[in-house]
Amino acid sequence: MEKHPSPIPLSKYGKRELSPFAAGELLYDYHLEKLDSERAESVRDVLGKHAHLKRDLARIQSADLYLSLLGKARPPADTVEKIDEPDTYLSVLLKKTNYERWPLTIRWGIEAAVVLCVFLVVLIVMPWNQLLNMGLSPQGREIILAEMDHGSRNAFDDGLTPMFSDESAGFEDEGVKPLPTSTTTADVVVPSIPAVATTGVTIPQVQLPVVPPAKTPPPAATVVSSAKEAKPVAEVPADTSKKPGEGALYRGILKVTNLDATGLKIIEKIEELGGRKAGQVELGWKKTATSSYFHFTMPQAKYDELISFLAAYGSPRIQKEKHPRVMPEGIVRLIIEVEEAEK
Amino acid sequence: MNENDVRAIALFFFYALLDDQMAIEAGARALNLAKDKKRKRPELANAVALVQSTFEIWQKEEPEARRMSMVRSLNPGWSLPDGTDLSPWREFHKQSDSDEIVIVIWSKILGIPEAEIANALELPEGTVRYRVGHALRRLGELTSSRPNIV
Repeated sequence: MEKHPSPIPLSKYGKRELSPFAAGELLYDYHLEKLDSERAESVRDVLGKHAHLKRDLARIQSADLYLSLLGKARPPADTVEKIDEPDTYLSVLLKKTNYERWPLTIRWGIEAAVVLCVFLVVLIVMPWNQLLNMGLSPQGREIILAEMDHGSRNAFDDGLTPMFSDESAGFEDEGVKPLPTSTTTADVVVPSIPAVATTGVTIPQVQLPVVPPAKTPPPAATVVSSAKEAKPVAEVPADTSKKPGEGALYRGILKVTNLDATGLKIIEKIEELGGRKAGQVELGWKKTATSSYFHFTMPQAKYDELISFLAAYGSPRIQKEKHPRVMPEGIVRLIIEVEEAEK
Repeated sequence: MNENDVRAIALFFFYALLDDQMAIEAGARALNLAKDKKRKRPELANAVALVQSTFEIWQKEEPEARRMSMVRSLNPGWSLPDGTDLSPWREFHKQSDSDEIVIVIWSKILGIPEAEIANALELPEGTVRYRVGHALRRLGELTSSRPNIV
């Protein structure tokens, strides 16, 4: 029986010959020694005949050796630590949002907004008023209404009735000239004010000497001279529970259209509400041609009424300031400047 | 993921990105991703999780890495074997496409078996081997022309 010829072209030894192309594709496997012995022998045969395949094999071997050397590299310890360190909330957030890949303009915008917010928060939170008061010259910006000598509190202990003592203080901004006097503070006779206040007996007004600021005795030692000023409310002793320097002063500005007429009405109203002048100038003192000066004390209960009265003539801007002078309980001290509104 | 895996991730991105800072950032992200994968599928082999996570991060980082190729910085703290020159690798990095670079790193630098690479990438093992062989020939052209490199 005749043997059927094989469809695959075989060599005369019965082996299948490998083409150079196929051998080239098997070179990597040949290099790794993953071919069976028959295939490996076939590749070897082709390599012997084709120099370019030999060159390719040499390249594969060279690259393999080179890469095995690269694989022996050791990363710095800190690099490994950084890769392995736990994430913070911020880093997780940045990674989740892919912040690094956002457009540069948006990132800059966000960063600028954050800086602006921080700036605004600082601007709002910082107690600028106190800082300015501390930083700037106090003589240049504040009006010294009175100076209280805390060391002279013994005067209260001696039985003297503590009174408002604004009159004894020197006011640099009031521009008052000291009244001529031939008496001294030692000559002042202290009237029995509580009795006057309760009985309502009018006492003839006594012209008290005005002591120059430099020689001002402790405020507690000075007295109020008029009967009007001797209302019971004025006799309430200063709140001793408050520490020195915890007092307050209401300072404000009111702009009106007719200063002369309005000034008189304001004086009337202040007096009607039980207010009385403080300092050395009369209520409504013409500080300049276009402004009047009202420095007075009044019952705190009447404060709102006064403000609503003033609001009828303009927009009073009054703010409460800390002041070393401590007022008696229920009494507030105000300095209001009424100015002619610009037309 | 153990210390060797972290080191492998560091090596991968060092050679893939050729920039220390980018390698650290990408490495940290890849490590977290690999941990996530292990947490979700505990049966996943470390090598497979490593290949998958590094490949995902590499795909995201590659455009930036290519763009930043002119301003790369490599930390001298990396210790390479004596006489090893990185210039053939840099040249190979420029000439080759993304698939060849990562497959060569996994297979020949990190020593991950081709079967696991194929499993992680859902490719036939023959494809992986073909790519490695092809990449080795290209790299071999560069290394064999400089006999004193290796």
